[in-house]
Amino acid sequence: MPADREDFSATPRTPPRESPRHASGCRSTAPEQHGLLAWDNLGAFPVPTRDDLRDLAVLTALGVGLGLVHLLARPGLPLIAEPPAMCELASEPEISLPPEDPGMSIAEDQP
Amino acid sequence: MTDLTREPGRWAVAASWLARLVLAGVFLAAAVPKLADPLRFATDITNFRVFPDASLHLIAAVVPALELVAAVSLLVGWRVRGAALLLGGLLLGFTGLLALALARGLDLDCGCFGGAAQVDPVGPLHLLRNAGLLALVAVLLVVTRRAAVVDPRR
Repeated sequence: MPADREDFSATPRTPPRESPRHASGCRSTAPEQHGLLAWDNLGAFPVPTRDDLRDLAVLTALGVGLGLVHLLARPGLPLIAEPPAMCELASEPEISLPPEDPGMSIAEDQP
Repeated sequence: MTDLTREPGRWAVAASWLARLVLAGVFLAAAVPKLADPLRFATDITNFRVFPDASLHLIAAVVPALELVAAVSLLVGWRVRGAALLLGGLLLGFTGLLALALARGLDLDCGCFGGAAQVDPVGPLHLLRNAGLLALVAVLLVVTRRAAVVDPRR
C-alpha cells in the first residue's frame, strides 16, 4: 500500500450522532435538524410537526385575510350573500315552451 | 466510487422541484380566474348544493385566495411544508365535493378553474386528477420532511 494512503478498513464505524436536546427535553432547532432532505428516516410516515402546523396556520391566515380584503374591495359582492340572488342562482332550469307559429301571429296582426 | 448516500438527495431535490412547480402552476391557474370573477365561482359552488347560501360569497373569495397563497409560497420556497399541507387539505375537500356530486348524480360544471375553462362537467377524471395532485403533495411532504420529526431511538 502506498504510504500516502490510509487504510480505512480497520477504522471503527462511528455511531450515528444523537440529535442534541435542550434542557427542556425538546430537540434542537439547529439547521441540520431541519434540513430539507432527511433520508435517514425515510421509512417512516411524514408526520406534521408543530412547525408544519404553525406554517399551515400562517398561510391559512394570510389566505383568509387576502380573501376577505378581496371580497370587501369589490362593491358588487357583499360578504353575506343575499337569499334572493342565491334563489335565482339555484333555481331549476325553466321548461322551455314550444315556439309560436310565426305565421299565426303575422296573420293576426294583419287587418 | 459512487457515493450511494448522496444519490437519494439528488432525486429528492428533483422530485421536490417537480412537485412544487406542478402544484404551483396548477393552483395559480386555478386561483387567478376565480379571484377575477368570484361571482361566477360562487355560482359554480352553489350548484353543488352543499354550502349555506349566506356563506357562498365568503367561500368564493377565500378559497381562491388560499390557493394563491399556497401556490406562491411553493413557488418562492417559503413555508413549503405548510403550503403542501394547505393544498392537501384543499384537494381533499375538493375531492370530497366532487365525489359527493358524482354520487348524487348531479350534472354540473366543475368550476375548478373558474371562468378560464370551458364548461367542464364533473366526472371521474376529476377524481383521478385530484388523486395525482394529492400524490404530488405526498411526495413533497416526504422529501421535505424534517429530520427531527421521526427518531427511531426515541
